[in-house]
Amino acid sequence: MHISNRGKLKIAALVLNLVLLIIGIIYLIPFIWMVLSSFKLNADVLSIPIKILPEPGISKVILTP
Amino acid sequence: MKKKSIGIQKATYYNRLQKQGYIFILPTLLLFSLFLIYPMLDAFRLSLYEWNFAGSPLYIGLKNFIKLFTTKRFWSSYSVTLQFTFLSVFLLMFISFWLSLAFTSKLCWFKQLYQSMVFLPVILPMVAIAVVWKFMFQSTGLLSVVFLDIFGWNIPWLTSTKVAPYTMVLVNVWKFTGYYMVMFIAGLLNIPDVYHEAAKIDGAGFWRRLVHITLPLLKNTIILVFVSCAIFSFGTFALQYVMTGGGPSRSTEVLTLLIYKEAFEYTKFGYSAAISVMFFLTLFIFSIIQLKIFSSEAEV
Repeated sequence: MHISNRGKLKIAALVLNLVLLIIGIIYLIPFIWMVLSSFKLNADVLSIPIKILPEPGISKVILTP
Repeated sequence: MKKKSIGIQKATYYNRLQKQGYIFILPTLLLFSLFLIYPMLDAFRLSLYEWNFAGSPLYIGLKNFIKLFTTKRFWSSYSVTLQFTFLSVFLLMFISFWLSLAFTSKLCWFKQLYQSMVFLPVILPMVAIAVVWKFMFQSTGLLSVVFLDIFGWNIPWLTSTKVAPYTMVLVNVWKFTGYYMVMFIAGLLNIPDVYHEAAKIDGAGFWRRLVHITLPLLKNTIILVFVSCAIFSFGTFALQYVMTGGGPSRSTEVLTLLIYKEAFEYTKFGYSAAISVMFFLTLFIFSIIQLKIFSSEAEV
């Protein structure tokens, strides 16, 4: 099967963008974790199993010293 | 004749201006030398004394340096710093170069989005980053649990002498990739498109264009990135101080951390000043070598 030059370029662009997106997300993970952790209680930050999303109700965090 | 006299007049005029200029920079110069240059030079004097901050300094000659060269702790710290610097420089330059190449290519669709994703860690302060990563690396933290659950690897990120130094490099690379990537992008955008188009018409492929056009024209940027990367990596402090505090059995105790500990924990200010002098000499020799290479290449 013959793939035209244009089609090759399109596939290359798709692969490149996919790779770049994955790299970008890897770079963002600690940042996202930081923001999510800032809404958690002390006990929830290091709990097992991991709680990715904070418990509903931000007031809880604000009210706890 | 007339021209000459005008020339002389002009010269004296500029000379006068220059003298006035010194008056204008005098306040800054005074503060600078009092609070920056004097303490720096004073470290050299202090390295010949024994001083515990409370009593008066005692002159002991070169004993600090003799002690320095014979203690194992200094040399292990030195090698840890060198290892950290080499790995950081290599990985940072490699990753940021390829990323910048990808971001400047025409195949990349969302340049701004990817760039800001990679650049985000640069704007955060080092201490905040170190705290977040420390939480993620704890045995119940995000990364440890994820690696254990998905890959089945139990990686002792911060508690093993074999892994902890590489963990430091990982965080350092994560933080500074964006910074050097921006430098590389600035250099790459300075290369005119004409060269690439001409080479394409002549039938040159990607690798040939990279080696014969991009790299030679990017040489100055590469040298700049290499030097600043090496100097910044050599002077790393906050990362190790916050994350491990010297690490499991001093495996991440870099030179700056040793200087800090000797001065403020063991109150040996003279000894710590001697380490600072060694630290300074290393960077001094490095920059001289780099300047020599740089100037010899500029002549050719």
